[in-house]
Amino acid sequence: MILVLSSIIDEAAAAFARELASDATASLITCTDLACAALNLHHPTFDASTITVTGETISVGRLAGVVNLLPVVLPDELIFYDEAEREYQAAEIHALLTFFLSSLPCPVINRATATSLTGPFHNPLGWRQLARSLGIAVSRIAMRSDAFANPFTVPADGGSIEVECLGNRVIAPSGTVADAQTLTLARHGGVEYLRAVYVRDASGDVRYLTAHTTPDVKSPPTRGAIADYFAARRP
Amino acid sequence: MILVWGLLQDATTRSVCDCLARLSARVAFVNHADIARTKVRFTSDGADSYRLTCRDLSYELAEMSAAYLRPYDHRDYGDYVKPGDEAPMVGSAELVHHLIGAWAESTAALVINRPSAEASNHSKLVQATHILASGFSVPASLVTNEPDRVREFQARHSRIIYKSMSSVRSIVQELDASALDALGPMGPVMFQQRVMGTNFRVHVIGGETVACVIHSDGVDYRYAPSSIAPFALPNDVAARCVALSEQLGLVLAGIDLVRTSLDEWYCLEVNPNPAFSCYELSDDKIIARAVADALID
Repeated sequence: MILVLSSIIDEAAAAFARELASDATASLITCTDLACAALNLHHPTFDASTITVTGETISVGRLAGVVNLLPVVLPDELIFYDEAEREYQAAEIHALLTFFLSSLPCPVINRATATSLTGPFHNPLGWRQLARSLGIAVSRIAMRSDAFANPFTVPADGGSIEVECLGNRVIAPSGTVADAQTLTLARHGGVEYLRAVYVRDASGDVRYLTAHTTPDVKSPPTRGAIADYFAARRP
Repeated sequence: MILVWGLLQDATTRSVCDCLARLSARVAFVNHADIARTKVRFTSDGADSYRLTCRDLSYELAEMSAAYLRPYDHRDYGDYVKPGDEAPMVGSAELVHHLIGAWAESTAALVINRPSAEASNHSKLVQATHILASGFSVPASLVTNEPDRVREFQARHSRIIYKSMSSVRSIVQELDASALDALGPMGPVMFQQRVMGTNFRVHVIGGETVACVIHSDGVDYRYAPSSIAPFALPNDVAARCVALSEQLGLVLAGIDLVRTSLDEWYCLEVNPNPAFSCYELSDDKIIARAVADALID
């Protein structure tokens, strides 16, 4: 069973889960399912844990993989709780998912850490600092807390390079240094999936701009790569 | 210079500031209550630069040799303005947090504590996995939304408690099984074996431990009559506390231990930003002094 964990309003995730299910046992799961369907997570005996997917209660050991499209649990995911309770419950479900996604023995795209459900950093500055520490040329940016303008926005002139990697493989190579740099970033960041964005500076050199840790499942090559990833890991 | 970011009315922050003042340290104190008047400007021309401005004070964070960060939820302040529909998704106060956090993660300065290290407390069961690896026992835990599984768990462990599984503070309470019968549908809740024994609080700072024993009949001694006394930890337990803090990346930690009648040491959790002033048992303010020493070193 492969789980696609997503927001309750993510229609692309639901479509992707249906597509994945045509080739393997797969199902969409949301915070609603986690909160309302039977769930039992044990510590320290995590392998005794069970989760309910589409009405069937299964052992966590039967999960073959997870595609996690939910970087954070927001109160709006929990509409079945009273409004006054949603913020507390969002923190609780987030904590639950952090434990669940970091404990599963199966492949997880991407495994949760204490700082984010989808990787090691909860904002783009962390990835930028990692890139810089690895000797990857980064673009110049500026941020002001009192006048926010997103410095990670891709320029509209079309000069950006986007590289996705999954499981130590670049999905669609760009033929630039960005391919190897994205693999390096993913490896050092401890993630299976990474989509990194680069721009060219005035002299034409490639410079890292930002990174994303949730797969774009609207993209056919990405969906295909995820399916191949799990097919290659099928027991 | 040492950056202290916290609330002036917080006794823990104030005690660190007092110790730093007695040691004639140069301190840049930024009152967290002034978050609406705090600005951070980040630029990356050449080296990364973070300039922190609050009222008429302004600091280049690269000048800081150490930092003691004790921020709060800025939304609790009266002048917090929630970003509106036409405002950016991220408000100014959130950005101040993000940028100071980014600096704290990347700086070579000593930071008590880095945000990534503090995050281990955001999921208590993830933290419990680290605790177990450090050699302490941990109480058995169950997260469930099924009353029947709770009853089975209680039958196995006799006495169980429930509390938050996130870092949101909750009052630990023992489960009264009859309450389950009256409960309707429930969301996932964390239940834990109640470990009976004597409570200890250990503060680890800079590789040293300061411990106290807490005598209380309450389930959660923070909300029950209790008495606190200094305690000399066995060397091996102290060493485990230091190793656990290091494993979590914490320079300062407040560790909650319980020793059972069989002399088994359980660790309930690790507080990565402890309000240690209520555990200072002498006018010498040993913990605050140790924090100040670490910041100056």
